[in-house]
Amino acid sequence: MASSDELNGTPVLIADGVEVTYHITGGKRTTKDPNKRTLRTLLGPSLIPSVGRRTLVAVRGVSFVANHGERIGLIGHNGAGKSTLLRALAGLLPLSAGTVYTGGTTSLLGVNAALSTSLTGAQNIELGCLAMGMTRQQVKEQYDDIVEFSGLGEAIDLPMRSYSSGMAARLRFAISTAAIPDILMIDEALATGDAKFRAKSMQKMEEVREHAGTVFLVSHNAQTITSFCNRAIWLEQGKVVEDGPAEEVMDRYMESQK
Amino acid sequence: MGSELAPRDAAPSEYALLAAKYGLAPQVGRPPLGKYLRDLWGSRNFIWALATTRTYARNENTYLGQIWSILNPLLYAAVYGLIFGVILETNKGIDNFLGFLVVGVFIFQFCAASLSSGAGGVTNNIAMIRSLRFPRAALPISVVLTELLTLLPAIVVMLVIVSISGERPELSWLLIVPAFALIAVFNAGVALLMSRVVAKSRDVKNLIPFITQLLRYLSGLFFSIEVWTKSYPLLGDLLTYQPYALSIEMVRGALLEQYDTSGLELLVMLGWAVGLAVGGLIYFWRAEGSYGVE
Repeated sequence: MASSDELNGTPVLIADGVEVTYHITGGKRTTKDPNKRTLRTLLGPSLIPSVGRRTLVAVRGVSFVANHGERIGLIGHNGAGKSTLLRALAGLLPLSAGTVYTGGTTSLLGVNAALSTSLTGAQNIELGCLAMGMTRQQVKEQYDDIVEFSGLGEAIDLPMRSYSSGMAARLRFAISTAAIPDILMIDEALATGDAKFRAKSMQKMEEVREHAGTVFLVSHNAQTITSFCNRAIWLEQGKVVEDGPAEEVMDRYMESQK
Repeated sequence: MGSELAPRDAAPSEYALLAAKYGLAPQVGRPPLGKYLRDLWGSRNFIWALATTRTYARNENTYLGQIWSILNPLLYAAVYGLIFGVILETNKGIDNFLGFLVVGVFIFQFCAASLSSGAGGVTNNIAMIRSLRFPRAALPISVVLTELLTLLPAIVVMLVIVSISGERPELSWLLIVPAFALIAVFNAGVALLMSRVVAKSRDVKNLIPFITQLLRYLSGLFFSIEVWTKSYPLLGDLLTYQPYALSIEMVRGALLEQYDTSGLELLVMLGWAVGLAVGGLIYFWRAEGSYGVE
């Protein structure tokens, strides 16, 4: 553990002015430039319906340094950009500006992280692990642990579409944490599953942290954040409102909601 | 603990310096081509697993299951045989029309399926793209592999029908193996190309059934392109050397006694396959990192 003690406190992920923009096709155009001559104004609105392409800035200029061994909670209201930021940090969404620097493997675990619902749990384990870059040998070695951790038992050979949302969430968690990543990102996964599974998940996150890894957690549950995280970043409209020790930031966040 | 945390107000350049100091690498959406190809090679197990599990799962929801992948081209062959062989009689002058038709329909079936599923290579896998990191080119490639695996039982049926039609199985039949490899590589190139096009502009997806239909009539499935070569040499050549017609011709050349594939035809098909695969891969790679965003 000497090496991880040395690492603790040194940067593992740096967000430098991260900005994410979504382009949305569809929906009626809300703003019109009267001087702009488009095909539509030439041909008349009846011929070409007004379907606009709008941009939505979800994360605007977020910067911070995450260190080895930190457990960072991302808090904020719905639509504040928490989940988008998490995806951008995990390298799953392109940035429209800024840079993310990382010094290790990242693994995102989210509610929507579905593989293929027509495949069985066992097939999903194989696919998920291979997609994360594990070798066939590693998958074989880890397989039993993953099944055990997911607690699915016999259901592992049923198609995933027959799973309850709790079962599916457990399987996803078990797959994403099979190879202990340097940076684990969790999006609301703890909202599903029973108390026993939550305890197991906590234990797994602790394991990641012990390997000098860093955990990012998005949760609406204030208690989850304060009990597990030592640092919190509060986002509002895609910007950092506050960044500091979890309890202090959480207190002020709760106050702002009153 | 707060004081140990990040230099929150540092200027952007300071973040870059800090990253350099601790050896953190900028996360890039699109790695250099060389690294991308190595990553893609590294995910070959994933590509294979994805293709095999999908092939297995594909027909699970229907009672006849896997049999549909054989029945589908068979029914097409029956329809075309009825319309073009019996009613319109375009089979005049074609030796062994049954073998000719069955090879045409079965091979085209693979190409058409690769085109339509390949075009959705990115858009049909958004959930996977948004939750896992891997070279995205793995998706269209595995789609074509899925189609090839689905086709395997149909190939056996095709061989049986060709022998019934009067052809004697010979050693030269083994030539269909390299022929299929060439066709698959070509289709993978098309899938890579179309995946990106459809990911950027979903409207294109609605055109694919029409493109397929057009190709179906222009690839000599149920009539011989030679008819055109005689009266309109230029048009005939264009149709003869387009990749879908060549794909079918190659397999006919291997299986049917009366048909031969010329060296030029093979060379042109090789050009199509290599050109599309290399071009498609580079074109797809250039947008890597932007897939998965609406």
